[in-house]
Amino acid sequence: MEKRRILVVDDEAIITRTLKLYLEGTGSYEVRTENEGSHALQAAREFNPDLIMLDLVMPDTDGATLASEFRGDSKLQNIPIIFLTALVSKQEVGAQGKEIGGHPFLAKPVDPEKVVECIEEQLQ
Amino acid sequence: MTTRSSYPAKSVPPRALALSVASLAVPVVAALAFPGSLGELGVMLWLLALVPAFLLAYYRGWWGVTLACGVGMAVLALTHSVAGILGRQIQEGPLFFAVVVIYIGIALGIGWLTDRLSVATGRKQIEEIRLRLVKALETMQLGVTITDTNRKIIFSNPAEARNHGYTVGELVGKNVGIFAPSGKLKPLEKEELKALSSWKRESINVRKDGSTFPVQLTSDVVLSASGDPIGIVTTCEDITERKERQKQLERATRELRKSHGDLQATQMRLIEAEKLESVGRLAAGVAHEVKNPLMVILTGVKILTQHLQDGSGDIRVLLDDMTDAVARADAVICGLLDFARPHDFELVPEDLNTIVEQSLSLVKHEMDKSHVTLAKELAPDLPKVNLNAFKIQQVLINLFTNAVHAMPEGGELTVRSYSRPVRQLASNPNSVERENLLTGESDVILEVDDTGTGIPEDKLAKIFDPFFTTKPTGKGTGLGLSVSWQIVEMHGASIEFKNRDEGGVTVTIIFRSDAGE
Repeated sequence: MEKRRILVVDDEAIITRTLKLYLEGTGSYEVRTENEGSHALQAAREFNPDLIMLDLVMPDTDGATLASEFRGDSKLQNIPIIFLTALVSKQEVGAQGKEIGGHPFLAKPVDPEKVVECIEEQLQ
Repeated sequence: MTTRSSYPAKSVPPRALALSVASLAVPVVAALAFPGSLGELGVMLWLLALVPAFLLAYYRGWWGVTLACGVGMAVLALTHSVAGILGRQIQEGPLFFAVVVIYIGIALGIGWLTDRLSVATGRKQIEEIRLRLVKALETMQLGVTITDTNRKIIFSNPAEARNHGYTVGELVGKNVGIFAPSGKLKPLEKEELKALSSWKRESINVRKDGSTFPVQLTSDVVLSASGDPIGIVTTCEDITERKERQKQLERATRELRKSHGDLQATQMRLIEAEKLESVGRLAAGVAHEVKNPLMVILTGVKILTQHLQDGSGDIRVLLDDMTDAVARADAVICGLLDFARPHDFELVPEDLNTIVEQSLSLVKHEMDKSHVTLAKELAPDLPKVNLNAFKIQQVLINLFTNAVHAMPEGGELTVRSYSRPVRQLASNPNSVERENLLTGESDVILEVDDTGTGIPEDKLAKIFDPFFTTKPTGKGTGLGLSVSWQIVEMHGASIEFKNRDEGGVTVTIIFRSDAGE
C-alpha cells in the first residue's frame, strides 16, 4: 500500500522530530516537518500532503490563520487538517466539542496512538 | 448626698443683740443713781432671777432674753466690783427692789419682743424660700416625689403627676407603690433608710391607665437636723426616648458590624481572587513550555515500547510508569490552565437539579466502589439559575469526588437543594414593613453533606489555595477546589465548607436567582 503523506507544522523541532519518528515507524506514512509557520504554505505546495497537522500557536503565525490560507489555495483546500496545541486544557477540549473551525483538535501531550487514530479517521 | 433640714438657724438676730445691749442702760443708770444701793441681798436676788432666766432662754433659743440676762449678770458683777473699789456700802431699800424688779421686767420684756420679732422675720424668709423651692419643683420637667418614711406621698410635682397620668391632688396621701408594677411598697427599715444615699436605678413605672414606661429613678433620704430620716425624695425621669435611641444605636452598631464583616469577607475574597488569578496567569505561561516536552516524552516512550524485545519486562514496566508520570504532570498543568481561562463562558438559565443528577450519574461508579450511599433531597420547582452547566458540573463532580474520598470506609452522601426569597436589609427598620423587603429574587441553595473525616479547623482556611491537598501524593492535584471556588465566584455565587457537629463536612453553594424567570 502506498504511504500517506503527512505534513507536520510545529515551531518545536523536538515535537516534529519525534512525531515523524513515530509516524514513519508505523510504516504507513511519509512525514515532512516544518518548524516555520510562514513556510508551511510553500512546504505544502511542494510536498502535496494527504493530511496536515498544525500547531495552533506559533511565534510567527497561528494554526487557524494557516488553515484559512490552505482553504484559499485551490490545490490545498481539500486536504484534511488536524490541530495540535499545548494551550488548551482537557476541560476546554470537552467544552468545545473537540473541534476548532471544523477541524479536529488534539491537546498535547497526546498519546501518539491517538494521533494515528485521528489521522486514519480524517483520511477515510 | 444627704439632705439635712437647716431650720431654725442657730444664730443671734442682730436686732435682738442691739436691743439687749440697750437694756443694759437700766442697771447702769440704777447703779449710778443709787450709789451703794447694791448689797448682798441684792446680788442674791439678781442671781436668783437672772440665772434661771438665762438658762431657760438659752435652752429655748430665745436669744434676746438670753443676751439680756447674760449682760445683766455681767453688769451686776461689774457694779458690785466698782462699789467695792470705791469703798461704798451698797444699801438695800424698797427703791432698790423696785428698780431690780423693773429692770428684770424690762429686760425680759425686751428680750421677749425681740424674739417674737426675729421669729416673725424668720418665718417670712422661710416662707419665701419655700415658695421659691415649690415653684422650682413645679416648673421642672423632671418628676419629683417626696414621701414620708412609710412611703406615703407627701409631695409630687406636676411633671411627676403628668408623666403618670394623675393630678397632683390624686397622688398626695397615696402609697408611692401606685407607680410600681408590683403595687404597694412597704415602709423601709431605719437601717435601710440610712443606707439609702443617691440610690440610682432603672425601672418600669405604671401610669394611671395601666400602661408602662421605662424610668430612671434617683432616691435620697431626707434627714432631720438631728440626723433622723424624715422622708425620701425620688426624682423620676421618663427614659422612653433614650431607650429607643439606645436600641436604634445598638441596631445601627449591629448593622455596621455586619457590613464591616461583609466588607472584610469581600476583601478576603478579592485577595483570594487576585492570588488565584496570578497563579492562573503563571500557569498559562508554564503550560505551553511544559506540554511540548511532555508530548516528546510520551511519543518517545511509545517509540521505545515498540522497539522492545520480548523478555525485557522490567523495561516495559519502566516505560509504562513513564507514561503514567506524563499523564500526572499533564493533569496538574490542565488544572492550572483552568485558572488561566475560565473567563469566557456563557451563563444561561438552567435547572440546578438536572445538573446535580447528571453530575451524580458520573460519580456513581466511584460511589458504589467505596460503598457510599446517596440521599437526595432535591426541592421540586426550584427557580432557574443563570449558570454554565458544564462548569457547574465540573464543580459538583469535584465536590462529590472529594466527599467520596473522605469516606474510604463507606458512608452517606446527602445532596440537598432548596430556595428561599431574598430580603433586603432596610436602611430604616422602623419605616418599612417587613413584607415590603422582598426583592423578588431567590437564593437557590445546594448543600452536599458527607459523613467522612471532616476537615481540621486549621486547614479550613486553606482549602481553596492552589496545590493545597490532604490527599496522598499523586492522588490529588490540589487544584480541584481552587478551580471550583473560581467557577462559583464567576457565577456570583458563594461556596462555604463547614464541619458538621455529627462528623463530616457540609458544603453550601448559594446561587442568586431572579424569581421572575
